[in-house]
Amino acid sequence: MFVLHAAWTGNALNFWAESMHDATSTYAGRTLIDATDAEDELETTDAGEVHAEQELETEATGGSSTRVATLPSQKHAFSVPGEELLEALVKGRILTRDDVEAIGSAVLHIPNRPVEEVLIPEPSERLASMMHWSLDSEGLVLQPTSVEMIPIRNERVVEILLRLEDRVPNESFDVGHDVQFWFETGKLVIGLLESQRFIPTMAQERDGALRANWLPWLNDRETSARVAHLLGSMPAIACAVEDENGFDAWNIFDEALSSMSDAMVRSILVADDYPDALEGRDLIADGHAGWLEGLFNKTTEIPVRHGGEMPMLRAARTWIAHLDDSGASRVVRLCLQLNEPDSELEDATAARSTWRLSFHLITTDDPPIIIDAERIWNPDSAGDQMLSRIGGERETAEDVLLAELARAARIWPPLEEALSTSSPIGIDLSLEHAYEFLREIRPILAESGVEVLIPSWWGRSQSRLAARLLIESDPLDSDSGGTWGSGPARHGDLGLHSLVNYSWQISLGEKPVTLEEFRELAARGTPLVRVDGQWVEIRAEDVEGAAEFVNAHPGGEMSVLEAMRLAHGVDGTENTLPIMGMKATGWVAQVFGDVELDQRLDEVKQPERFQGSLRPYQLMGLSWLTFLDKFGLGACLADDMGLGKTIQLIALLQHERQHAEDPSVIGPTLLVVPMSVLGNWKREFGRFAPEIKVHIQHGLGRPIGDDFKKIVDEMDVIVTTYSLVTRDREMLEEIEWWRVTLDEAQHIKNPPTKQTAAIRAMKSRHRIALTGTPVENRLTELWSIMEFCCPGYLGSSGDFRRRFALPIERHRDEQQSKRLRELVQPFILRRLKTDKNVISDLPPLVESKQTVAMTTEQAQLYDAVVEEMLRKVDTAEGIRRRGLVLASLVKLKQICNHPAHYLDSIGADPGEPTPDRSGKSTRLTEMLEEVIANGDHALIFSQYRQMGHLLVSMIRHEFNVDPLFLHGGTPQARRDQLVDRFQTKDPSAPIFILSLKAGGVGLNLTAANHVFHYDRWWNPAVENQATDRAFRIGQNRTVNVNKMISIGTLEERVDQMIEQKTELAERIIGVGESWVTELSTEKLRDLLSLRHSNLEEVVES
Amino acid sequence: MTPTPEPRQKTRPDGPRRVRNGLKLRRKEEETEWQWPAGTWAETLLQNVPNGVMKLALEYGRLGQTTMLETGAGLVTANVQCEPARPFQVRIEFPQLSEIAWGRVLQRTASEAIYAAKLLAGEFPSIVEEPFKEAGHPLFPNITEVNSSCSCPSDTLCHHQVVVALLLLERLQETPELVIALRGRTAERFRNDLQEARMLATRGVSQAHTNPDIVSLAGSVRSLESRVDEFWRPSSSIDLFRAEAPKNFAKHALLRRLGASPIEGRFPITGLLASIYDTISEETARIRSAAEGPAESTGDDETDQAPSGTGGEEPYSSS
Repeated sequence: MFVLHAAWTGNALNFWAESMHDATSTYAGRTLIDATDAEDELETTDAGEVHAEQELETEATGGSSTRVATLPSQKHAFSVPGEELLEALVKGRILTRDDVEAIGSAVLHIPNRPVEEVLIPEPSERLASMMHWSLDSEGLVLQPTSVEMIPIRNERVVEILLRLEDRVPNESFDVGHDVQFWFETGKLVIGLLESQRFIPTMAQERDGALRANWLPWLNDRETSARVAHLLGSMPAIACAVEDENGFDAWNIFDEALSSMSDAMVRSILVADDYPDALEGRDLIADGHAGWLEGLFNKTTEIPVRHGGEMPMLRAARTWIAHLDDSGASRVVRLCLQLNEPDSELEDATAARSTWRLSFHLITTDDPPIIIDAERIWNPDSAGDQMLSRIGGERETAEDVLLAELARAARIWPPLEEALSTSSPIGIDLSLEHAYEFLREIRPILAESGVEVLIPSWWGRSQSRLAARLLIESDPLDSDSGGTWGSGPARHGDLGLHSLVNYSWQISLGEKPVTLEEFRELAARGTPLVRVDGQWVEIRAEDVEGAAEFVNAHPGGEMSVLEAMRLAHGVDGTENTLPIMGMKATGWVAQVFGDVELDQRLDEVKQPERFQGSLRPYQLMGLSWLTFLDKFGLGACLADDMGLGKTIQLIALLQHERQHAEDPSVIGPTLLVVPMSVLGNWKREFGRFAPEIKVHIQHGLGRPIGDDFKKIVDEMDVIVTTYSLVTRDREMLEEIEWWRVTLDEAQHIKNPPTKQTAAIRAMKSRHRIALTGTPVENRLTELWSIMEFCCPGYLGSSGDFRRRFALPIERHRDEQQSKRLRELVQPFILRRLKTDKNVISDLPPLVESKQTVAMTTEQAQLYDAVVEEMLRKVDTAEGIRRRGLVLASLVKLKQICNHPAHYLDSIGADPGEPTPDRSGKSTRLTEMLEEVIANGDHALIFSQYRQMGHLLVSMIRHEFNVDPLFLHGGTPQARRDQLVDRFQTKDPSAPIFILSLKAGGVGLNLTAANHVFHYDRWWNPAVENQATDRAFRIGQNRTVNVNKMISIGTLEERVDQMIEQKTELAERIIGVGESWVTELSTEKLRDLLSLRHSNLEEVVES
Repeated sequence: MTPTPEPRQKTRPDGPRRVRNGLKLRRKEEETEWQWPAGTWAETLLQNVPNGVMKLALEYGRLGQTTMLETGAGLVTANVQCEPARPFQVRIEFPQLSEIAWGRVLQRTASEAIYAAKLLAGEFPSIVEEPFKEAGHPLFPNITEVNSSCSCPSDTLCHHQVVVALLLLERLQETPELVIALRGRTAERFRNDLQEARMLATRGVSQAHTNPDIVSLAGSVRSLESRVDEFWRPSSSIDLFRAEAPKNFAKHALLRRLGASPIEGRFPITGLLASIYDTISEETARIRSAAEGPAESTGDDETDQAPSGTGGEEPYSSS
């Protein structure tokens, strides 16, 4: 696998790549990290003896010193030879050989790591993260490093970037941030060209020749702000080539924008035979023809008679200067106001009367002052302050008005008429001119710095011809609303697939019109007509479009699902008319209408048997779940992390049982969860709804076949994991589930896996998805979840991608984004911790425990360490015994953290530190995903620096964000830097990992609203102190604290002791770990040995 | 009796017909030497003037017999009132430099910052002469290249011409940069041209457009060295960048803002540009949707078909 990079040099974009294969085991910096980490374990405990023990062991086994790096070379260690990269790119159909000039090379100034007085090129962050390396940026120096590169032809580069973005990452390529930057650049270029934001220009070069080129026009305010933002996000690696651009970001970016645009325009024009237009022209005598020749041909040279260069350049400069003169820097600008004909007039009369365009000047004050032209020509009082302020020493207000009008007239000649009078105050426009002004001229005048005021109806959907869907559905049976027990069919057969009557209504503005009426209006032949006092726009294509639409949509019966898709313009066909939502009667109106949620819902009371108390917003969530269930509609509860999605679901199960006439008809709910939260679910059911019978379908000895069926019959809830759904698919499929519920529903992904397919195949009366990620912004996830909750509602994934994902994600299409929101809004409930009605309900600090099962690998290592210790402990005595026990404690805690943590510390091959090898890191990454997706910030505390390194590499790898890391070895200056960076809430640094000792006191980290304690400290006061880094003055949000605990291990045992405040716990808190060394072998066995449960990972083939 | 002009002048000892408000020569004969560039021209123009003619010219100068003197590109015209009722017209033509010659001179002048620095600061020191020499087009041409004439009957060098030369030198003494105009371009034009030539010399290019001030908008740009610890990632969030959908843009907006082209040319450039803008819009839109279209590998679509059968089209069925 390659990590692709791109650099702009030699006036071309060059691809280069790092290879993962070459990086494996040859990177010297790796050894360096291992070496520092071995020392670092010293920081980790407060029992002095262990240190000696640890060091001894490390030395005895040889430790990490056996892994020796290869010597550095002058060349970049991981860079891929040009020919090999080219081949891979061609094979991956990213480009063809024709797109490439000869393979070249360039010198990059990139970070190198000094290792034993030699400098070794550092792998890129993306490569390091793929290799699960956590690299420290300290000590790195920039060093010229030669890399082979593939230059792409300029006329092809934008297209190749667009295509590449669409296809990576894949199994052959991942891309660095520099390539992502070039993706955005490519999109910027094509967007500027497509929206005609480019100009022809010319320049004289040192040799005196005039050269013509096409240039993206960046000087307008909006464009330059966007370009500046992109420039600001240019990664250093994109400016690292040694060439004449001198590492200057803007030089490089500017040259790239210009060259890409110019080459692309030129090649399109040549392919379209534009140069033929110049045939037979005298290119030297005719300056226009000469310029165009330069704009078409490859040499770019403008043929011009000797000495004519400078006059031509000067003329072009004068011309292009018109664009700079946007009036933005003026104190006063021209303001044009278009006034519609008198509203008192009859519609028909109004249509024939004229539109008045009045002239004004507008100041830059806030709020601006508008001065009518009348007042400028006839100052009403001698001391008109305003006018004297506008008129400077050199020009009067009159001069400004006239000069500005002349400038506007250059853009729109009809304004010239005004200049033929001595003191123009406005002009009358015909309806056609008014329409041209509204539709075409207004935006151009606006970007030229003219303020344009127009009637408010213009541009609104109400002023256009549109079609609206009318849906008739049965009214709700009011008395059946709260009753249960008649089986799966609640309101008869209501649901997405029930049929409703529909018809289409064409309307002009708010007024429904028949086709005939519309034809009559259109026959008047004017683009604007007034209907019932309202101006509406009729375009020529509307007449045919309306007729076509009416023919194609006669009305009739269809499913609610189809109707909703139609009403939001999401069906497969392209409509000839804009669709303007729907109007519904009956139950459809209740579910899909745009009434506020709390108005639509009958509020449900807290179930009687619920052990605890539901907050108001949680009751609302419960009401919403029961409401959708009533209509057989799937639901996605997407509340923020920490708002209690679990208990809302638990309450739903209780609610339906409490209100059913015959609870026995309520079948079992299948609850699919990630393995990491199995334990939590079990605990939460036990705590809040002990009467609900829960079966955890997990473990090697889980019931199958008839045994399972029997259990299903007896139980209310079957909890199982995503991976087991695939394995047990056949068995689970046979059961008619009352409800299938997914926790952490973002697990079902697109493209679909076997797992997703298995889950979708479950037969069920109702479906609920729980997730804490902002699904509405993560479109592939949204599609997958909606496809689970409401199959077919969003169409096929390809269709969805074309219609929504591409326009919204790539091009920030607001309109499609809004449509999609409206479409899914009935099915998704998402409350944020910051919501007004939620925040008042929330306590400032929410503590929870994440009890997770260990993986098989962890359990095996854990068992082995306990075994070995118990075997040795009997024969050891005194300090030897205490050392042995303490060392084992450390090992067990390391195993709970992550197998790699433990293996590395004993000098064994740690393997790849992927999160899925540890229950805690699996759960942590799940939760961090939500934190990051929500734009929140989190602190993670660990006692172990090595664990910190592992977390850094995991987080980089999983989320592609750069976590901050503060540990005992971090110099003070760097600490301050880290804290400052985190406190700015920099979205690129959402995670801060701290060693408990170094970061647990003193710091102010209120930017965080999540705190994770990755491993437990014996003393809760120490943990609380660490928590207080975030939970302190200056914190204005609820802080969620999560303590990670491995089930069945000493962590859980110690946690229980602390919770039960036992006498033993008092001792623990007082003296740290040394009390453990005093325990008898039996007590040790009891405290430390792993209590297996069926929550552990299932290993099957 | 038809007296020759020369004796006729001599026969009128009471001198020329006097004029009011004529241009007077302020300079006394014995005064110090002319300074550069007047001095250089003095040597050239006055070298062969007979003493008598000079004396007469000086007298005419002090009397203010010159009613008009204009300097244009490479040309000085003047009216000198003599005895007849109508003044004689004097014309001194200086050889103008060609466009090419000016190009060379400007290139030389631009190549060393000192010239531009002095000239653009409003000074006009004698070193300005150097680049002219180096370019092979000296600022001061040979006397043989200067054509001087007078409408008086004399066919030798007359005092009318000499008094005009003296007045011109006096002007040069006050306004040295006038010397440039004698070679065909105003000093102001020369300065502007020099600025452009400097752009060429320093940046290698002189553009017809202005550069946008993106850098100051983007905020501080840090050196590569200072970015070592975040070398591989963007310094600010790239996700916030808006690569917005280019729909609903105002067509031909820039073209309309440009207006008619002031370049000399008959080809209807605005019309062709309008069509070019439309072609580029269409073609780039096509390229974009082709590149973003479903890749060959997303064959998963079929398995995604909604179970209800209401799902969308086949991935490739639409055009």
